[in-house]
Amino acid sequence: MNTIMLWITRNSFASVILVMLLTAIAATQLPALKLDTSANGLLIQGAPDTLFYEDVKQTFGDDDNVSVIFRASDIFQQAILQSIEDLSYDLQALNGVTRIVSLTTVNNLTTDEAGFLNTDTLLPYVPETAQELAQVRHNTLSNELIHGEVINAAGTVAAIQLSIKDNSQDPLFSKNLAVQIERLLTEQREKLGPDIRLYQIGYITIGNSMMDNIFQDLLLITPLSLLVILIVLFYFFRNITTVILPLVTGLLSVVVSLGMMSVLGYAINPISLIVPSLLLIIGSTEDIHILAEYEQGIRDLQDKVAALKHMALRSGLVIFLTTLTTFAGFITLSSNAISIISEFGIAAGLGIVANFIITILIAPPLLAFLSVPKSFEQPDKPFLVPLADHFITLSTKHRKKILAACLLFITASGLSALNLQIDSNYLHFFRDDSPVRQLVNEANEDLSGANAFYIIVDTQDKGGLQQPDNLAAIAKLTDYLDKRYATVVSYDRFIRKTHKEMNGGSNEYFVVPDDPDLIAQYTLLMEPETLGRFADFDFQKAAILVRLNFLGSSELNKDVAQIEAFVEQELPRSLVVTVTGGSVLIAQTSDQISREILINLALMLTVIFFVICGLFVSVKAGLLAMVPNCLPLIGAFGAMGLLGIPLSTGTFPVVIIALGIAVDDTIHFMVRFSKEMQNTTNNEVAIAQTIRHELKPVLGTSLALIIGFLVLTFAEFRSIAEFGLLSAITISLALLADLLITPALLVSVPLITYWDLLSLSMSKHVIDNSPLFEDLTKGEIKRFALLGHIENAKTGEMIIHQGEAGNSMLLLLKGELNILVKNDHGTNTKIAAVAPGEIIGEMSLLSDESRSASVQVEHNAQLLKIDAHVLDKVDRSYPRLAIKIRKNIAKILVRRLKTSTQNYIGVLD
Amino acid sequence: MFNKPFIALLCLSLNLSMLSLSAWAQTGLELMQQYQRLHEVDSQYTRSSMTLVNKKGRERVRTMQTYEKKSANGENRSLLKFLSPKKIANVGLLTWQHDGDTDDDQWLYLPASKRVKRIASAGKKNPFMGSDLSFEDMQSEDLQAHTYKITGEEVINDQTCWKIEALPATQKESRASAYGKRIIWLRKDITYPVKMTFYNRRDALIKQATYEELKQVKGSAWRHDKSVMSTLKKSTSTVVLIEKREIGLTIDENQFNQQVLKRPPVVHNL
Repeated sequence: MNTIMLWITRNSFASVILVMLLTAIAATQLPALKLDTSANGLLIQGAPDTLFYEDVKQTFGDDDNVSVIFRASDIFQQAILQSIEDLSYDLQALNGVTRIVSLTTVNNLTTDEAGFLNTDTLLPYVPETAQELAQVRHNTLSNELIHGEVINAAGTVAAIQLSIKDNSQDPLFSKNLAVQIERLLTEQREKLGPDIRLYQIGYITIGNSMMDNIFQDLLLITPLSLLVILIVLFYFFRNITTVILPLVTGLLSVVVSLGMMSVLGYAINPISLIVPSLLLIIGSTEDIHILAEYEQGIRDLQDKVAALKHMALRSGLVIFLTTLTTFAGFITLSSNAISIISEFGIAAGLGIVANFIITILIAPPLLAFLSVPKSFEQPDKPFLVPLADHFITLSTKHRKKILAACLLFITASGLSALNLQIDSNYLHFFRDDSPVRQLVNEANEDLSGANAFYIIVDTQDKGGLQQPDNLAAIAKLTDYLDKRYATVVSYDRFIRKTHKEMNGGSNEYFVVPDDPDLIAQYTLLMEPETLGRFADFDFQKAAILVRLNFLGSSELNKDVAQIEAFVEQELPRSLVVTVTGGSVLIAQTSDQISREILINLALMLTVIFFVICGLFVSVKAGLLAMVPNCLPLIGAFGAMGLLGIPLSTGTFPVVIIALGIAVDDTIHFMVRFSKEMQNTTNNEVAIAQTIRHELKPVLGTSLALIIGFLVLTFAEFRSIAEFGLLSAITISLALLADLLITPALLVSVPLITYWDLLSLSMSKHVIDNSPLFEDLTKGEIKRFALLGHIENAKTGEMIIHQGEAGNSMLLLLKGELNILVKNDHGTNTKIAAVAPGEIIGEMSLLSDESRSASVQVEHNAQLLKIDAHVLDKVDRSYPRLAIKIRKNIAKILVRRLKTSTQNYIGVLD
Repeated sequence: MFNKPFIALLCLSLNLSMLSLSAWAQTGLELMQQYQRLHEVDSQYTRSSMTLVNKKGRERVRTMQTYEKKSANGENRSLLKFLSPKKIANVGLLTWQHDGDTDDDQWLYLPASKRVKRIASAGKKNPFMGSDLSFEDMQSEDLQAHTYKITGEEVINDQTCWKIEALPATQKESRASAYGKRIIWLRKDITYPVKMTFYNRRDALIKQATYEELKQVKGSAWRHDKSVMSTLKKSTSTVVLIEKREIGLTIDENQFNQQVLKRPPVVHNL
């Protein structure tokens, strides 16, 4: 990693060219990027339920519908009926409209006054005389089958229901269709005048408004939010570089990621829409960390080139680690059965990698090109130092209180999270006063039915629908549904209606006849297109169409469960009843996504746990990292429970982003801490150093993001506003977790990175021959070595002075030492030489006695210094290792004692 | 009187004595009148199958028979009965067509209800028994209710045809009919239709029919043994195949009443 980073600092031209090339290639793919405004991505492709639904649509027609609604004091006016006839023709002719249901298409099966059976449509022609108008009014209002579908009972609202076949090849299909419909409505409005209300409502209308809102917000609020973030960054760091770097790397990453999505054939949909903001957020955090190292380098080394090298070496590893961990987390989502979630996981994962590559390639050359920010040479913001001290005191001195508070917070959030609702209500995504909400409310009052689903009853028998007992059972279900929903249309009702009309129109005949032949003969009288909506070609399956108001996913799922329960109790087992429909499946998937988010998060956390365990070669480190990573998540769930914001397809990305940010911050903190640990043997000192270094970048980016996300709360689209609010809360929690809880936990856990283990070079001689390392594995030796403090000493340097107090022992790793003892004249006499692998000073370590001899470096030496702290650390963290080490020290002491005794005996002899 | 091809089912009697072929019959109306003269017969019996084909190509087959006769007052009577499938066997439709402004009389018999029901004339644009044919497709052409215009010539299956545009001419017709326009391809050599297209009131093509397996049945009279009517947007079609036909059979006028309608079908042996 370091080699790569150094190569980049040296070959800035080549790396810039590389990035430009990468971006240019990605940019050529952008025009092919698709936009998917439908919620169809929420249908699980290939799943049995989806296939069943596709089959139902093939058999019974499309259920995605648009309602065109007329409202007037009286619908039965020539102008309105003319308009209904005109629109019925014109709408039917539109591409994508597979069927219309209106007064002009609905048959009016009645027995008239003369006893004639009338089979004509309700509006066979536009009536001209008062008598004709009265006749149409009478026919329409007395037909109980159609109320709620094309007319209300009072005759003040009429509707034309359109079935739409979505064209998935054309991303602008629904948008264009809505525009075409609106154009036709505008023509009619001009003819009808202001007293008559005429409008369209339906899934595509709502979907279009949703997209309009999202894009409006994307175009207005998101740049505004980005601007605010940059302003905060500028305020905090006082230099333009801090603004330019995140902007450049962020935008390039977004272009590359979108290009990759295009190549993979992924569309921009309501969920993948957050990939760009995710990259900007996580990317800018990385950049600030890099800049913090650069700033440190400038201060310490006072040289731009040296500082860049320092930055490359210090940050290369850590951002590689954060990238690896975040990537591992996101890529776990790729196994999700719901395509838009797995696509999101892959796109976000690849985007994170792209951002990493772009950042390491572009940051050094860009910083080399830009002049060194003046602010680097100025002192930090005055509040930072006391603030850091404050955090240091809190995390080291009030550790228990912090951990208790953390526990309390987790418990409280957990309890609050119990109130969390799982509900994706696409209407709830809009603010209450938004035009769409008002339109939907209006439509719900006028005529329910902008939403629809099917109940399919399979008799498992060809011709089974025409068996009286089957049809009577279906009628029972229809009657149950009729009590609950505004409009229920079903085959049995047509048969019952025909039976009634064939028997003089008396209501007692509104029943299923008990002769199968009669049912078959009545069926002959049904208009085939209507028949096709409710019975399949073999008369094996019936479709019951339920039109209803918009419901949230949880309510709709509850309704479906109740219908299923009714079927279970009341209908014969031979009938297979399935509730289906776009809205039903999307509601199921939405809630499934929301429920599965917990499983997904658990999976992501597990992967992150193992990656961190591997990175720090310690299970403890993995467990420790889980606390600051989970806290913001639990906090987010708690806040949602408290604020009554449901977990939906709109809000669940918050927790994912929260996790991404928390993981980043935690790893930065842990890597920094492990580095600081190498400079000191005292954990508290290392913590203090870590907080001092990390406070500025962590606080700066977090504040910028919190304020940036708060800007989103002004978004027109409620789900974006809620997303912004929750993100701000979550990032605040991640910030607190990292500044308080991570340090508090780290105080007792020494950290070593896998990288350090690899890079520590110890000669085979030392490993094999040092008495201190007897019976230790190679891994244990390195771990122990890294817990100590490695010091270098030059030839001639006096590293121990006789008579001084000392509480550490030294292991010579490289070079050569001489042991000197003062003779009676006060001059040093060499009494022994120390070779690599040998230890010195062990007596002072154990007994706190003053040094019995001096030690001078004979030849450039590398020493491992082990003091009481280190031994304590080993005792606490690696008890098995500690036993071995202490045993070895004891052995060394025994050997020394033996030698001394022999020498003493020798002297006596 | 010009029979739309499905009238072969209902078998309208055509008056051969009206034949007077004119080489100068140049207007659309004259061509139509010529058609009527050429192909009218006095009485007819047909037994046929009607196959409903859905958009997936699945089929539902029914068989039926029809007696048709010209009554004493020159008006057409017809009695249609389904023969199979069993569930709808004996479902019958009796029609008394009336010339001029008088509405036709129509009675429906559903054997399972044992009841004859008078059908209001208003429903002529409605589909006939779930097929792609509507009642109006099965009625005789009312020359007074339409205007006809020759719009050109076209070769169909190697036969040169007149292309005639038929538009409703009366308010009654334009209200009752689903069609705002029809185009009729009339074979020049025998003045018999081979194709017809149907447009709605907004001039959008909605249905199309072809008439195949043409044969000369008696004198100058031709009939087709196969017709295919397709509803375009729904991608469904109805195929009618004539299995047996007799022209000029002896049948009493009183066989066309409600009493006979209720009786089981008398299968005519040829």
